[in-house]
Amino acid sequence: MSKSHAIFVRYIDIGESEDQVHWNWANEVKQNGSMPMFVYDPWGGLDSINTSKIEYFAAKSKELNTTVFIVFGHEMNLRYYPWGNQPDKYKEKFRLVADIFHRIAPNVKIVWVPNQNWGYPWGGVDYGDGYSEFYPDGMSAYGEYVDWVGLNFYDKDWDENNLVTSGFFLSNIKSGQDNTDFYQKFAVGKNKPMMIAETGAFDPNKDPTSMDNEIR
Amino acid sequence: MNEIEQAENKDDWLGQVYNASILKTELPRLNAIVYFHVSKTESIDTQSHSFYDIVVDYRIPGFTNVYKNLISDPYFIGGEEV
Repeated sequence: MSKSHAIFVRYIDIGESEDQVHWNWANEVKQNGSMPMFVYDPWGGLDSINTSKIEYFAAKSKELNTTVFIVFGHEMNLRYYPWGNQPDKYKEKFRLVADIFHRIAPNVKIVWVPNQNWGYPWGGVDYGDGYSEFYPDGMSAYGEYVDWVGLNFYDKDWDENNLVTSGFFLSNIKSGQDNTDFYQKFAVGKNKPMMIAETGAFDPNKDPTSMDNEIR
Repeated sequence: MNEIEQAENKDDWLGQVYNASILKTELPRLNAIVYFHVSKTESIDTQSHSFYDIVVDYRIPGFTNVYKNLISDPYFIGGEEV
């Protein structure tokens, strides 16, 4: 008998929090014995966040009556997203969002998920090691803002065309840019459970380096 | 790379990520792994920070059993039986 997945993930725009399709999906996930995880991103920018929409989403999460993971503003250390590379504002909004979920839906686990830091700041502003300056430390009346820490990374970057290298998974977690040990600093140091919130490998033939060569 | 070689490359990565003995000893707080089982268009940032789109296929190869064999280790609990 094959093993079923524990978590399924859906990427959504906070601005579309009231769309019933998310809850049809989440109920289907629950009925299959799995937990839903929402990557909950402010595609309108950090200043666009509407607290009533988040309160609605938190209430719907509570109704689900199972563990729900919420990743707010994933890969915030990248510069490419409307919420990216703005550590102070990101942390302020993370705390706001986390407090709403913790107040309304105790079954929600708030997850903080940067991208692995090799290459940081990727053409953006360099604020530090690529992780620490984005971590929303501290706590409110509802407890600490972060419930889980996570990391996203793949077998290589898009500007690389190498094959998978031995030991890269472990070394990327424990020996990142600036000698940052994500696992020790955030999972152990902050006393949090950790997840890899995205990983995968892809076809090196589709790497942009080779495409650049073709274009030239 | 042909399809077999691509699958071998992905299977090498799966073997690192879902290595139960490494997870138990080196990363005991790593409690969940989400594999991005998707083929999608990605906007690529070049060295000059101009962008163009390509299709990137991250999906686990369907014709090998590497992933299923790895997660059959009892360290991976999976979802509830329903």
